[in-house]
Amino acid sequence: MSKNTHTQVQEHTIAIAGRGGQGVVLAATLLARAAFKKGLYVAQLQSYGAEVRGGAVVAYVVLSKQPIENPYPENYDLVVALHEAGVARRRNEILSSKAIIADEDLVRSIPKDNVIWVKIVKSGTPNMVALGIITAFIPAITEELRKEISKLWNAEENLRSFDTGIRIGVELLGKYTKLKDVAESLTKLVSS
Amino acid sequence: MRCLRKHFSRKYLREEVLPTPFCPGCFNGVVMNAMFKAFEELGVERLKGYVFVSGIGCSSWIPSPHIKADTIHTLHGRAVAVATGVKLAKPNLNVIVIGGDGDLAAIGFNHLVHAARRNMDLLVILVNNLVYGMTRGQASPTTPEGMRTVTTPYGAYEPVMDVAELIARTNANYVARWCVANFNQLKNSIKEALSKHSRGFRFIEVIAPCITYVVRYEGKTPGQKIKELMKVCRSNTETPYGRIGILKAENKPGYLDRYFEYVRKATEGGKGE
Amino acid sequence: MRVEFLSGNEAVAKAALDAGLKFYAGYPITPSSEIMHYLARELPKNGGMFIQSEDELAAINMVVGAALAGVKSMTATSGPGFSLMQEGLGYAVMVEAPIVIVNVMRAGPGTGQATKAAQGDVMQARWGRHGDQVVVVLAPSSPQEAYDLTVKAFEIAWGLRVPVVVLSDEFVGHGREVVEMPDKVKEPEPGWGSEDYSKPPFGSDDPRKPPPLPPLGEGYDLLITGSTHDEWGYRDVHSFETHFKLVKRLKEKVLGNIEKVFMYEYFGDDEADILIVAYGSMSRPARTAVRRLQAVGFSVGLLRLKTLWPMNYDALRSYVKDARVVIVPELNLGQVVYDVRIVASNDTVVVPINKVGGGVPIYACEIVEKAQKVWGEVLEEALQP
Repeated sequence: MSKNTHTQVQEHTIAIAGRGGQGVVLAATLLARAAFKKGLYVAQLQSYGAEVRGGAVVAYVVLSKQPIENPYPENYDLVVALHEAGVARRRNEILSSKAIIADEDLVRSIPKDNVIWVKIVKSGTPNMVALGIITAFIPAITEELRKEISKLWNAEENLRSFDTGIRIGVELLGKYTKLKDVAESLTKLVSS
Repeated sequence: MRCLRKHFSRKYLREEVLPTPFCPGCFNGVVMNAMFKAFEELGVERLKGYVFVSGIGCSSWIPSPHIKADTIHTLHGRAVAVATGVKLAKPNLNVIVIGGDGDLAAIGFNHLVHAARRNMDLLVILVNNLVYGMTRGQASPTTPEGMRTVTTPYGAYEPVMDVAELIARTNANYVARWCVANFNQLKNSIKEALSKHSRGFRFIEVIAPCITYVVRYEGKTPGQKIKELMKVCRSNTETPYGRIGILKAENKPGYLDRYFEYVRKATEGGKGE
Repeated sequence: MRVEFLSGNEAVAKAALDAGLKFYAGYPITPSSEIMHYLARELPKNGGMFIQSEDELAAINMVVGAALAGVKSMTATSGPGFSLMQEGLGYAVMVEAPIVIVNVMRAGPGTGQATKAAQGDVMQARWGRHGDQVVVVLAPSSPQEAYDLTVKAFEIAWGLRVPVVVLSDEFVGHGREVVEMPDKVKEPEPGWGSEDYSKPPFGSDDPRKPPPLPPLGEGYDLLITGSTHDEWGYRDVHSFETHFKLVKRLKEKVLGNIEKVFMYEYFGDDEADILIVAYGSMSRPARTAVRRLQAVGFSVGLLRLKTLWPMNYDALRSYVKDARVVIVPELNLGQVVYDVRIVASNDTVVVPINKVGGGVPIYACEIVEKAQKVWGEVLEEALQP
């Protein structure tokens, strides 16, 4: 059989889909940086248009205990969708993902039963709420993220939205078992 | 024997490449002579520390291969850009660009005008022969209206570009325009640009009509042409070639002065971004 | 060892500084601008010169000027800017200026899609200039490799007095990953460390050895020209001998050192039935595809090219010859696949996977599916009476 082969590569991906101006790339960068500081290997990529505001944006973070083999996953472990524009840009990848949490006001195109609908954008600064929801799945990085967010402009409001997001996330985790599986695999990355 | 003494300019020349490829009577020789006289009068014995950069065209052959110094013969139009790179990499070098109207005012004008805007520490000598002399005398941005060339066989119809006036309107420190008939003024301008006004962007345009494609087409000999230029350029400041004389002489900080000031700020706890 | 979380563009800039970069000229263009932003911040504080040029023509020519003056210099650009730099790049080949050019590839032609990754500039990087010439082209696959290969680019450029193109792409340039960097990089030396300024600056008895590059301003009276010249720089635009000797030497200088210049990596089974040839960002899903195919019993390998030019066809052939099927995934309409076709025998099935635009990668599953499908067809054909 094969010689130089990793038999198992454990890479987990968290994606945020939205619209230019919502802070999608920033949120993914903060998430990635916090995970990096926690000692994980991280890859963070994004797709956005030439315009700063208004275009479709999808950003994602690949996490692993080993150097990342492939930062181009075909689907994601967890997706937080903030706007229809980003969802349309990566529809196939998003629809085949393990767990999708979407804003009930701004996302339209995903079949109803595939998705967990939440008020995200109306709960605060969209990217920080999204980040909070994601953090509920990997509590070990909460403090690192808080540090990163504190460095931002308007840190107070951002932290408030972040905490709102965590509350929403924790609530969802209590309610949906399929989310629990995702949270378990993500938490395992940081714990041991 | 005194009569066999070498011409003073020989010390600035790679003698092995002489004679030059210029047409008999070509005014490039006048420009060379003025430049070498300037060096002589400044007491420069050897051109160590000088870098001459030129592009493509007859006047670009003045430094390369003739001048005995570091010479860089670049692409058409890019002499000012290469010279900028040299000057910024080694600020202690004296960098001189010599080029024609096609090279500096047409294909390379963007670099010329931006180097002038930056007040880049360069001396640029534009030898304006009014045509593309090296390649059969096609029309250039400075070809006088009505003049017949191979690309304007029925007479040039595009308005002329006044390069010296344009550069004078930028942030350049020193701008002058002379005819080849203004030999002493030209020499003095070069001297000034290397001594009194030795920082920032210095631009000297020399009106040196192409012997082969301008003067001959006018039915004149080089001698007749220089006599005509003496009449036109020595007694008037307004000439058909534009304003003659020193158009601008300032001593503002050059690009490097400003850059080093910027660096000082950056290193004194400047945060950047 | 320094470990940082960096984008590929930042990694390039850091590598350049570590390799001794002292001059940067560039014109902003997406998706390469972050290289310029980083150096605008760091170069002035590190004794270097930074200039935002009026256009890409100026940028590359300034960089050539600085390199000839003896200073480590670089520019970075993308698609349209790289097109504008071609003339200057050819000039750098002719005057043997050791420069590094980074091209962060985006979808073209024309303005194309400025923020979307592509690998469409491979042929341009190799052959974009007029006349006969060889430049070195390196293709990093990750921010880590963007760092490593940029350092390498300076080493090759100064070692051989040849321009080196770092062919990154938007995925690598904008993607952020963990990058490990040594505390100190040995500054690349001219002529791999042996320079004798008494020798002619544009000629060499041994075609593998580049001539020395004396710095400007030291009294060497250098005669540098982009026209055909003899070994001391005297222009000769007439003789066949001078021109032929010069362009042959410029080519042999690089090809004669192919062992130092050509870099690749192999992953997977020995003498694999299915070979994937990939480079840059798309070599990474290819690696995942190899593992997945191995897991279901295929004999498969990945040849990952780090150097795209000059191509070591002998090395390429030694891997392609054992394979029945060769798959070449590229973010373009097929460029490196031609190299594979050159060395493949008639029995080898060469299959390109081409996809470009929209910032969409070639996914590992697409490579797996294609491999299985083509392998099925090959078997079927073999079983036919």
